[in-house]
Amino acid sequence: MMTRVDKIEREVLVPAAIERVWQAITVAEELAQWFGDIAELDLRQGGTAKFGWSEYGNTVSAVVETADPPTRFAFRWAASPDTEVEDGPSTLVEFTLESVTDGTIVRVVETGFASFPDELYRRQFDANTSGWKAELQDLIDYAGAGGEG
Amino acid sequence: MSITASQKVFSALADPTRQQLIDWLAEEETGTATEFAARLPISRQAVARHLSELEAAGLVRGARLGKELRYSLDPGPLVDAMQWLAVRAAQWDTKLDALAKYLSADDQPSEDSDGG
Repeated sequence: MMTRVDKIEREVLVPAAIERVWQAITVAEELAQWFGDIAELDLRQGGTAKFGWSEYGNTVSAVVETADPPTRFAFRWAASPDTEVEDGPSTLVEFTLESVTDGTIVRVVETGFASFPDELYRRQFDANTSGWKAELQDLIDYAGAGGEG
Repeated sequence: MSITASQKVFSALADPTRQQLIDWLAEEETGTATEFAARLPISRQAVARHLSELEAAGLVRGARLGKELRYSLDPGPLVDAMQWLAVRAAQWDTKLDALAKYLSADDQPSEDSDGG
């Protein structure tokens, strides 16, 4: 059976306790270490968040939908940068954490792509294939080099 | 590269019945509304409507054979849509990787360990 096409599901095993992982995905300063390089987050249902990549000079707005420590965190984020969530298409990102013997399994499910207009797919595809990958590689290098060094 | 992954494609695929029809067409190559309706709890007319929506999105093609329209899959737009999502999914892989590395750095403060 084919997987649903307007849904992305990814998971990773993180070698850390669930409470530690919860911090890393829900505290702005920590998000700024691996997710973007600027982050603001008001961790409560309906709270607003912003993720930024300073090199590109734009931020992505989000609204918290679920904050259920230490297992469920979900936000809806705008499909286009510098746009409020309610002003355009958005997708829902749901993090689910599960404690296992080796650490914590982090699951991410992103849904809602069916609401995107054509022109947005095209623009995002272009942006994705150029900018983001290089930018994210920097983050991996930084995190891999030992965090706050 | 030509990206035709569109709202139409994703909307067409967002429906469980239409996903099921796509799955069957992928497995069996062709099918008609009557054949599919026999396996679904909905009418032949409803199935025919789903099939024509899939056709409008460019995902299937209908060919008239006698009295019936026999549908087959047109994988082009599907492949484009999958490709688009694959790029997006790869971003999540990269981010989750960064998360794992960020947190494993907690345990090994300044070591350049690449074992593991």
